[in-house]
Order: sequence, then C-alpha cells, then structure tokens
Amino acid sequence: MVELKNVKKKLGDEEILKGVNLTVGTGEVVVILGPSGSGKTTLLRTINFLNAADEGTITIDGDTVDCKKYHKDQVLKLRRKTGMVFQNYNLFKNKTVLHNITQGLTTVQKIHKDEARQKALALLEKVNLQEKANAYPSELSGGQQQRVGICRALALNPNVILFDEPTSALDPELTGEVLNTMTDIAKTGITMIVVTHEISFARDVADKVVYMEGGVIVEEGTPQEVIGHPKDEKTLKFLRSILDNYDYVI
Amino acid sequence: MNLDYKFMISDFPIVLRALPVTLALTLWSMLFAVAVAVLFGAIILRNVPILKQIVMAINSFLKGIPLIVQLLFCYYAIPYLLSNLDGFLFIKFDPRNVPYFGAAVTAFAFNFGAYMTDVVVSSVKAVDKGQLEACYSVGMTKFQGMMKIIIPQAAVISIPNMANYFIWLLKATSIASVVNVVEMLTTARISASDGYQYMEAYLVAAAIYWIVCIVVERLIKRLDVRVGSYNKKLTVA
Repeated sequence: MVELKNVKKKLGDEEILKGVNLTVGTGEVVVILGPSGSGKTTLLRTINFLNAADEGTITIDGDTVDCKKYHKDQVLKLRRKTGMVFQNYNLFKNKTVLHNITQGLTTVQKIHKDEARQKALALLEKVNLQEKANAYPSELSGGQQQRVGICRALALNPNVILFDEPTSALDPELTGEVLNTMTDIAKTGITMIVVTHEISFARDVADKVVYMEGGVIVEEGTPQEVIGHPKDEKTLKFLRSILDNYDYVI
Repeated sequence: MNLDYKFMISDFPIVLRALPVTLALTLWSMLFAVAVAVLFGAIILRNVPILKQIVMAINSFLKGIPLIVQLLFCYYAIPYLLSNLDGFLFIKFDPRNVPYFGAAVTAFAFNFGAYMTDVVVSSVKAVDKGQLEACYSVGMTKFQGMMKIIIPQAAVISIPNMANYFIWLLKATSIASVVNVVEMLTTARISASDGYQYMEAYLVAAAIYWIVCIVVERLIKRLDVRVGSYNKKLTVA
C-alpha cells in the first residue's frame, strides 16, 4: 500500500503541491490526470524522492518517511520498493538492453549475473524484444526503449511502479505498443501509479482515477465516476478540452 | 634556402632516439594531469565548501601564469623549498641533484590538470540528468550510479577534449628543454651544435612531432569509435 499524507512542495515561491493525500491499495492501478503544471508529475516524483517534498509523509508497505526530516538510508529503502518508468525512457545509454535490466538486480539486489540474465530475458520475451537484448538504447525506437524501461522497472519486483507520462514522448503510432504492455502488467496485479494524458487507458485499465489541478486533488474515484460523470466543474472542463481534441477531422 | 639534406637524413635517427623520453614525459604528465583534473573536478562538482574555493584559486593561478614560468618554478623553487625538509622524516635532499624530469612532470601535470579540470566538470555535467535519476529509480546509491553509469559516460564524452590536451601536451613537453630534460628538442639542439645546422635539426624535430601527432590522433579516433559505440546514432548524425 502506498500512502501520501499532506504532501507539500514549493519550488521557489510557487506552491506546486498544496497538501496532497492519496492512498493506493495493493494491486491497484491509479491514474493521475490533470492539466500541465497541475503538479501530477511532481507528486509522482515525491513518492521515490526524486523530488523530495517539503512536508508530509510517504508510506510504502509499512515504511514511512517524514519528508521534513529523513535519513538518506530511509530514502534508499523507499526507492528500493519502487520502480519508475520515465517520460524520456532514461535507459542507461552505455549499457545494452540486457544490462539495463540486470543492472539493478546485480548492483542493488546482489543477484547472481546468470540468474539476473535469465530474468531479464524472460521479461524481454514478454514484451517481444528478446532479439534486441544486445542492442544499445540508441539503436531502438522510442516505443521499444520504453518497453525496455518497463522491463527494467518490473525486474526489481517493486511494491509499486511509478509511470511518469510514459507515452508523452512517443510518436502517436508507437503509444499503442507501450499502452498494451502497461495493460498487460496491470493484469498481473502489480500496484501502479500512472501519470498520463491517455484518457482511454485511464478509462479501461484504472481502478481509480485521480484528477489534480493547481497542486491539489480535485476529484478521485472509479473511472466511471471521474471520467464518466465528473462532479467538479474543473474536471469536466479538463475532460472536455482533452476529448474535444478527438473531434477534429483531418 | 640551402638546407643540408644529408645532415637531416643522418640526424633523423639521432633525434628519433629521444622520442621515448618525449613520450615518457607526455604519458607521465598526462597520467598525473588526469589525476589532478579528476580530484579538482570532483571537488568542484561535489561543491565541497572551502576546498572548492581553494581549487578555483589554484586553477586560476595555474591558468594565468605562463607554462614556462611554472616549469622554471618547479625546477628552481620547489627544490629550494624541499631543501627545508632535509633531515625531516628521513628525507635526504641533495640540492646539487635536482630531478629535472620530475620537475617537468610536476609542472605539466598541474598546468594541464587545471585546464582538464574544466573538461572533467563539463563532461560530467553533459551526462543527461535523467541517467542519475534512473540509477536512483532502480535503487542505486549515488556512488554506485556515478561509478557504473555517469563516469563511464562522462569519460567517453571527454575523449575528444582530452585528446586535444594530450596532443597539446605532447608538443608542450619541448619546453622541458629549458630545464635540461634531454627530450627531442634538446637532442636536436645538441646534434646541431657541432656543425651549426640548427635549422636542419629543428626541422627534423618538427617532422617527428608532426608524424607522432598524426599517429596519436588516429589512435584516439579509433578509441573514440570503439568505446563510444553505444552512441551509434549520435556519431552518424
């Protein structure tokens, strides 16, 4: 279970997060929606302390870290319970696909090289990239890189995987393959927190949808509630603006 | 211009025989210069209070003073300062026996180390910030991330710049002739003194420097392609 309590974050004078409370149950898929600048990515990054919050507490399966006062070992422990998939993939450029996946296993979890390799190959097979095991990230398409990024996060068996706009940097025709992979892993019962603009993914896959704006959670509930019948005016406006985009005829 | 070509041909192997000294001077200086650059660079990048200011001051001093002055300083002043240590902790110092080679290596290492500090700092900064975030995301400590991911990438980024300094250093070692290191230029001068054929001897030395630089450049290019192969797309573009 992931629990955020009263998380606040300031950047300069601007308040990015104004006291956010969020609970994500084990095995739940939570999608965070919201316009640019609403603080959704910042919120996601406070969970694994890539951006440390100024105030509040973050709990992942029994380990609670107070954002005001923490030790770096606590952060390390928390990070080792999470995996992350980045908007720009952030694969290790100097490592092959295989080593991108095994790196965390061998360096952090101290798993034997051969075992890590087997695990990585099995994951690559799941995303249909086993023939790219020895390629470098620069030789892959964006969609392929992101699928490797997902494998890297999965390999560590984290308690929760954080997805930071995993399809935003992709060409439209490549988002499908990544979303399909994400849908597949959602079915395996892994806890996922996803920041995305893909409304259809939220509608079809999420257990819970959270709508954020201006550093606060405006509305949360099932996809039917939030996307189907939004109660708040802001949510409605946002959904309209996004869904209207699909009305263009080219 | 009447050049004594016969002398030049016969002088070539004589000057060439000093090439190992030039190369040894270059390699030792480079080795220590890299060590200085990495140490200074680490202090600047880690923003160590006080030490950072000291390093910046030292670098400004090293860059702001002509290399030959630093060389003469190492040759004359350091032995003088060290002579105060005579008898301290079993150190025996004989002022009549100044280590020319060591003095030259020290001067080159610090002077080039100061310039290469900038290369180290900029190369580490040039590595995409997301790479370290990715290290954190898989649970690595900062140290692990630096050792496994950031420094290897920064090293590749630094190759072209480091190569330039290496070639510059190779030629700069000729300045060591002023402190009596018998490297190529000194050898050329000595070989010319009999028949006063300085022009010819220096031309021979110049040719050898040029050839060596071309070879070194080729080798570095190969190295760059080899270790930077993960950037295939970047190199092609």
